[in-house]
Amino acid sequence: MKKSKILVVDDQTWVRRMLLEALEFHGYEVFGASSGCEALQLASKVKPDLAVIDMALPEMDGLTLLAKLKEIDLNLRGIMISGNGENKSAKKALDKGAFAYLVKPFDISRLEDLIKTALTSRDLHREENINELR
Amino acid sequence: MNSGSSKVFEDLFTNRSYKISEDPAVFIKEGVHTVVLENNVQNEEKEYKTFNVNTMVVKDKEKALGVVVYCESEEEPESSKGSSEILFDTFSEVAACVVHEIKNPLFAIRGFLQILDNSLPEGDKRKEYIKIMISEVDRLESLVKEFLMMVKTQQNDNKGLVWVGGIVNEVVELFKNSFENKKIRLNVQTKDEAAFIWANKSQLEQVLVNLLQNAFEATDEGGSVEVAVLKDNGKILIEVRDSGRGISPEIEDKIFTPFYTTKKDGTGLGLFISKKIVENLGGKIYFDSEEGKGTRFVIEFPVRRPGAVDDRSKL
Repeated sequence: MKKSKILVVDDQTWVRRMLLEALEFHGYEVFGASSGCEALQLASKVKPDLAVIDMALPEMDGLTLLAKLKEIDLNLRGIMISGNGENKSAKKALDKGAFAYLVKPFDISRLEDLIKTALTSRDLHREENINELR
Repeated sequence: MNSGSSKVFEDLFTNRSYKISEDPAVFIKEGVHTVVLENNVQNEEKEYKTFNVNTMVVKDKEKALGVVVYCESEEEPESSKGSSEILFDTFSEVAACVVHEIKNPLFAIRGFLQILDNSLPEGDKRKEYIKIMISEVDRLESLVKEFLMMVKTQQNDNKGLVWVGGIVNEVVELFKNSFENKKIRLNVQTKDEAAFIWANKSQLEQVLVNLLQNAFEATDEGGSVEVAVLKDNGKILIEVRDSGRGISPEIEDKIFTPFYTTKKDGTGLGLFISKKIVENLGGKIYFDSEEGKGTRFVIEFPVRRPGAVDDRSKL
């Protein structure tokens, strides 16, 4: 079975590396970027199924990046991560189309569970679209 | 009647649609009333405006000729900040940044520990060390988070007129599922619609979250927790009453002390911070408890009386 592709965007080197290694360990094909621009370039090449994005990226913020990634692939699932635990911030992310919002530091198993659910919903959505086309 | 500046009606309603959150009949009774309006914009956070309405019926010998209505807005006087306050604001901004920056390395440490854990075989002694390290990282995270909360309690900005019943309902909503899962009956009484205080909304929410979390943890399955908003003798009271294990007399003096905790994973800052927040808002927090039977925590705020001189303006 083809591995799902996950893009991790965080400007914190060790956080990014940790997430990449943890997700690779669980069988995903992973790609890392430290900024929005880098992420967009990478995404147009590798077409990720899902992106894990830090809300507070330098220059282009996480939610703007998510919107731009969805322009490349409307069906991409985005999981936002942030040090900000306020409800307002989470609500804003979900309103802007994020699949989920996690407050750092979180348990990696929670991220894995969410990724599984997000990828299932992406597959279901894709099947529905194919059926509609038929 | 010198608590706020007089404003013309248009000033109070500019670009806004408001509805009266109290009985409109207040307008036709003679006397001084506090009228509270809430904004009527959908999907927007509730915002309240309060002003004093003086109503006087003008009569000749037999019949009323008309009504004189005088409105005066009761807004918080703009405070001019002293140098120590500005210094404190800078300090709290720096503290917020530091806390935020600490979260990233903690997260990296925690994540790598989990990766290490996954790579070790079951029964390996080192797994136990990793477990301890992860729980210590979590404790550090709670500490910095609560430290930030403590700094924020000293800030005086973002205050507004807050509807106590509304906040209680919002916080209770957060806990509903947890209470249901633990089969604890949750009873909420927020009928006193007109209980408003001048406060920072998120701080007050934090206090209620702390009290409800404590009540939840202290109460066993099948027990009950009651939350009520009451007005008593010119005071607004918020009560959180549980049928839990109670507080033993030996530790009664210590529960508001920083870093004192009886919980395994507690930081000992929750009640300390709650007390600071309530006191900073001009209120009091106290409790009575009977071991094995339950505890009642009370937050008490003075009611803002129409026409009363605002104490803060004297400072």
